[in-house]
Amino acid sequence: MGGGYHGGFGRKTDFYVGENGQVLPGKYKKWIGVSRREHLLRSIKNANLMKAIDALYRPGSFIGDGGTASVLKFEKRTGEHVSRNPEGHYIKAQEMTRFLKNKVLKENLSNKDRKMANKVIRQLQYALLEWEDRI
Amino acid sequence: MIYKELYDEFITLFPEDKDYFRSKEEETGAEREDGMHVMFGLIICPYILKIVTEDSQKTQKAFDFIEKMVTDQDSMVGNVAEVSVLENIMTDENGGMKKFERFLGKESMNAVKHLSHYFMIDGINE
Repeated sequence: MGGGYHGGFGRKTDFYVGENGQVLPGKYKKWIGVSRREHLLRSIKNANLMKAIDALYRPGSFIGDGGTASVLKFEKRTGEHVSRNPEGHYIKAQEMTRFLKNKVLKENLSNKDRKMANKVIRQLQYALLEWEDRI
Repeated sequence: MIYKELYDEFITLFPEDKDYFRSKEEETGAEREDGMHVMFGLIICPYILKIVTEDSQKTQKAFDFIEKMVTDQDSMVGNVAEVSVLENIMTDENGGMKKFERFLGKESMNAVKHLSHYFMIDGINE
């Protein structure tokens, strides 16, 4: 992630400041990743898959790979809540997974799009299982 | 507010645009049974992004509804507003919060401020 900086000069880092001036506790620094949004959107052709990716990978998201699955894992493992209600992203992940499986996968997708959709679904399912303490 | 009825409740506010909503439903294949995060994320958000540049009265009406959702006693209702509307509009690449800030109610703005800690976005003042 570019633009942010951490406390330096040999002092223990205890916060991370983003481009927008918002602060994330330094202990969560390992969660700061590179968003796959642009890569995914560039790689796929199907319009509804793009819409789903657009909803799941929001611009500016820096938790893990920038997707809702990463947010779920972050929330579960750290106890932090990206939205004010603990279940916000959990319900979204459930519904978007169902939409991808029941609607998008039933469309006439290219092999590449199908592979990508399945990968996103697997990531969401894994994060949901972890959230539910089922793995 | 009733979770399953949120989409219909919202689109009822804009009878003049019922063709828009119908065409988006057909285009995306999204149905009420898919859930409100799907309906608001894939249909209502693009609608709000469209009207914000066209009609400030309509935009205000939309955000008054979102404020009502955010303050609803059913957390499922507030979740949809926060995660599938406010998060989406504040991270919109074509202006984000700068375009929407003046329409947001007090609790909607509080939700945005909370969310903003986890996104690299500009234009939100604590």
